[in-house]
Amino acid sequence: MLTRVPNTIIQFCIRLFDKYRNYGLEGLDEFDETRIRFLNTSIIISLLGLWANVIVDILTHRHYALPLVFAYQIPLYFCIYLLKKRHHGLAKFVYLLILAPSVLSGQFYIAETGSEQYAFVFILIAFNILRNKKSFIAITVLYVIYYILLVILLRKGILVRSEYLENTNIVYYVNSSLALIITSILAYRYTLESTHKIGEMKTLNSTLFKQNKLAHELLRELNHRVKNNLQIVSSLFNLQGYSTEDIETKNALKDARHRINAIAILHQSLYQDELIFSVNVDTYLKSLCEYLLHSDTNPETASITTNADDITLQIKETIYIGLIVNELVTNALKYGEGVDGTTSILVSFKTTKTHYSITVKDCGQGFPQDTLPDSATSFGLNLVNTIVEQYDGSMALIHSNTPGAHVEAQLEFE
Amino acid sequence: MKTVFIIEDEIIVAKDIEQTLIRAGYTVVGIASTYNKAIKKISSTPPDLILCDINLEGDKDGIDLITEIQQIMSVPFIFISAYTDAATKRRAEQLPLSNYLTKPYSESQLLSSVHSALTTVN
Repeated sequence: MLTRVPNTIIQFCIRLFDKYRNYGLEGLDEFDETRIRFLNTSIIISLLGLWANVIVDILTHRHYALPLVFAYQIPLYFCIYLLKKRHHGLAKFVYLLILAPSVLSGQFYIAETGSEQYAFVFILIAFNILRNKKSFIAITVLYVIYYILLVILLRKGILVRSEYLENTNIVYYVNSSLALIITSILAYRYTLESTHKIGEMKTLNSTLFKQNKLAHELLRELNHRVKNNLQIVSSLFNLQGYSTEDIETKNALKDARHRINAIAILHQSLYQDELIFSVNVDTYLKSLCEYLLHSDTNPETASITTNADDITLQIKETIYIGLIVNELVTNALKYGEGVDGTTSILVSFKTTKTHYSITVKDCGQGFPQDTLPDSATSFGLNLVNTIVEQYDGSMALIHSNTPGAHVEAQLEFE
Repeated sequence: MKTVFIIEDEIIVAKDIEQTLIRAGYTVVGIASTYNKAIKKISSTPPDLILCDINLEGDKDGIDLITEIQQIMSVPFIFISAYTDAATKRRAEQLPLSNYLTKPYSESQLLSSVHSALTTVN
């Protein structure tokens, strides 16, 4: 029973201490948590020390010292208030501003020289609270300036040592030695804890980096594999095309091959670029048009100019944009030859607030005046209509005075 | 009639290339999918041109293979690849008579590259 009571009290104190040292940590990252936890601990130790002073002063009938002890407590409560209001930076500043003068003035009341032990404590506390090289240097410089100033003031006789402190040197030496030991242990412990946490975080970061890199490589490899498989399908169609003499079948297989390669080029973009889940539309359309240009035509008499907005889109929607461009450009390459025997095609891709707009123009005969987009009988234009329908868009065959076919497909954002 | 050897680890893709070349009037003297098979076949029947995929089955890639072949005979070649990193590309470019064709390629691009590689040597 006798051992249980002190244990319960110790457990209670530890819980209370833990509760207050974790005060105001919400929303902070792990590094800031460590600093503020140290600041909380320092405030608790300071308050405990000051309340111990109150008891000692009352027991030793030194009531005249009490106002000073209470005065020291006010900024500490103010620090707690600042932490509650989440002004962490200001709380650190106020605490260090109080700590330096109180440590130094306490020192100068006791002895004229030799404040190494306090300097050591102060630097450890400042280091643990700030954890920032520049702030740490700044506070140490301030400390030194303050120290020098006090020495000058003391030498010149502007500041004098308190008489009552001279008479109670022993009490203050015991007090300060205890404070030094406790604070040093705490500072050392938290320094170790912080170092350990930093080490853990570094290990975690390194593991995450490796895992991320591996996932990246796997996805890249997957896209590579998909592209190679599409290449095999494309080759199968080509081989089947060689095995038949029927021109219509040959052309159908060739068109199917182009559609597959349009998707294969997209997967190629996915593993060639840094972007893994999205594709730069401009780059993709340029590659696709380059491929189509060399597929069925003589690149010396045909040309394709692309003019696309420099944006990146998700794979799903880019596949459909690619298929539309593939169909319209394939058509343009077939029928868009101008009177001078050359084929000049303009492909443009623009984004508005609500739509993607794909336009393909050539310099050929163009569509007959009465042709309607939904009256298209070819598989290719039907495919474009189907995609447009899926995206609640529209397709228009634009008739104008300029020669050539002008097709515009609009897709609505999902 | 010019002879071509195809080194490609996907047999269907290799067959597709073979058919395209035959129809264009070239003779395909062999197809191999690995480093060892390619060395063995090419040593016995040297071609006028080699079409070689960079990514091959096994530890050694197409660049290792062509480097080895170049030590035995001087023959033009075309690397065919979907994608190579910068370091691999640099390795490929260091070889003499190096040509490069990126997948997916069209029939006309393939034939144009083959014609160009053979003409340059002659």
